[in-house]
Amino acid sequence: MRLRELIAECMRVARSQALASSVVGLVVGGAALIALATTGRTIQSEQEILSRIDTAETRLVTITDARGDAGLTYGGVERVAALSEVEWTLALGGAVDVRALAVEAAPSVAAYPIYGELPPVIRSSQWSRSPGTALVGVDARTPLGLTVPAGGVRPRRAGPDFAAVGWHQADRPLRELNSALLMVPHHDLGEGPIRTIHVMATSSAETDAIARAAMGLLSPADPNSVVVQTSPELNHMRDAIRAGLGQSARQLLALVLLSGLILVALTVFANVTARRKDFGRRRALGASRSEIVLLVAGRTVVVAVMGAVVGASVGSAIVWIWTSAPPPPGFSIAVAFLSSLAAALGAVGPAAVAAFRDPVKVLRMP
Amino acid sequence: MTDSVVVTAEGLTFGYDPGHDLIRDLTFSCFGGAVTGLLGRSGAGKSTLLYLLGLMLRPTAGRVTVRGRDTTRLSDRERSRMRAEDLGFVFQDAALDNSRTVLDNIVEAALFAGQRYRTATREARRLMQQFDVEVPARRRPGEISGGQAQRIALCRALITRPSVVLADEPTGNLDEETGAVVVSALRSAAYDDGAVVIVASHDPTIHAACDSLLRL
Repeated sequence: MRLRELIAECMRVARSQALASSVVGLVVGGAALIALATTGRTIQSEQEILSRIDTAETRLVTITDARGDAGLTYGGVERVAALSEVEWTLALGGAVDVRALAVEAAPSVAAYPIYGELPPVIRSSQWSRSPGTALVGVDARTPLGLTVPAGGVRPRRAGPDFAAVGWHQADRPLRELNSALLMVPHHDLGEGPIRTIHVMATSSAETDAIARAAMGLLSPADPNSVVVQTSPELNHMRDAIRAGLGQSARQLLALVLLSGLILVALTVFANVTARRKDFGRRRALGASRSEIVLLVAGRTVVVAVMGAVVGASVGSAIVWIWTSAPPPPGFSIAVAFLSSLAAALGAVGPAAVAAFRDPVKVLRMP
Repeated sequence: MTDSVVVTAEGLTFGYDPGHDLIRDLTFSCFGGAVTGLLGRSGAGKSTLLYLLGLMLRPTAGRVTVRGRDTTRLSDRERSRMRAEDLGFVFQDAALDNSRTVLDNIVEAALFAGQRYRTATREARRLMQQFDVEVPARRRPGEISGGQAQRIALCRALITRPSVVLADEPTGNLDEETGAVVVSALRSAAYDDGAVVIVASHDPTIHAACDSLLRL
């Protein structure tokens, strides 16, 4: 039989045996629905917990040149920023103490030379990034004695003055920069040594890989002077939660699908037993054993796919109502696929029984 | 009538139980364009011989040749293919699938022979017209008379234009008039299409319509 005709014939047979098809569809749809309503909810919970853990802090990799002789360059930072798993980078030079020129008795505040662009977590007033200009952190204005973030600032040690031209406000995980100044070094000083590089990963699961990759891309002159910080405890907790919840969800899913497979196998077996004469007749008319197997399994799959799609859709809707968020679409599709696959596997045994029945015995039976 | 030998049995022997041969050392030939009748009391092995010729049973000894091809050496797949393409079977009780339409019952046999559904549907409608099947094609077998059902079974057996048509008591459950239509159709398959037609029957009307008789 031609493949196209076989598929069409499976659909015609499925339509003609409405009761048997409905039972298979209901079983597969029910399995998909239960799988989604139970494991889908677990997956949803896992996603919520992981998204809470997956905060900016856990995704941040901080690379520090402790002694200032590692030779970290902005070119290396750009290479790290180009990694697909990297959301943004921030390269800072060594901190210098500065005070406001206009306020003689003002205490010192830390100022960091900045190389490259500001990351999205730092908002600022308009800043042309001209050499020798600085932004005052929102929490540094009072200590500096600057009621408005404008005026000159001078390093405590030797060095040219900077012009404070605006403000900045950093969100997590760089909030400590709110009590400092960010400044663009003067041209004549050239690119100073980069002391700290903040790298934000797209996911906390990527931090270890990014840390390793960054060390390779930055190629510090003395790797021993470079300290790489991630959040190992939170990452370990994340992995443990993912593994624990994932395992229980997988076991539940396997149990539901296995139950669906057994029920489909029993339903199809009952159907081929009741219709054994039809299969004997088909063999007599020239159907090969493989065609009988494909017809029985194909008819089951046609119905199972429809049942799985409906079941997965309803299951997704239930999870959505329960948790106010739909399960991941990929998970719903996977459940529908696995339910259909389980039905197909369940149909193969009964299909083989139908195919290997002796047609003469069946036809001679009154 | 064409004189080509289409089906031969040589030393054909078969028994359902070991040591008890129902058919023993049977040799005969059937010609294309002729109707051969199988006679014998009930249990003599008429249906069994049809199943042997229809490649649904393998003989314990001897061989069956269809269009010069020794079928005893064929694989199950090859035998299925030959059943689909070269053989047409009419069962005593029509053996239609009650869950499917009349049209699909006829077309199904053609699909196993590798035909397209559309082509087979066209041929099925032509045969229904030829054999005066006066029921809507979408009706199911449970909704038609026994005579109509047997005509549909006949359409199904002939839809692939087989070179061999095997009929097992095709008029057993029919009235005289419908039986005559079935006999006429079988003779037409032999005389018009050149097929070998072998009919197992107790019906004297059929015996009278046969070109040769084989007694078991």
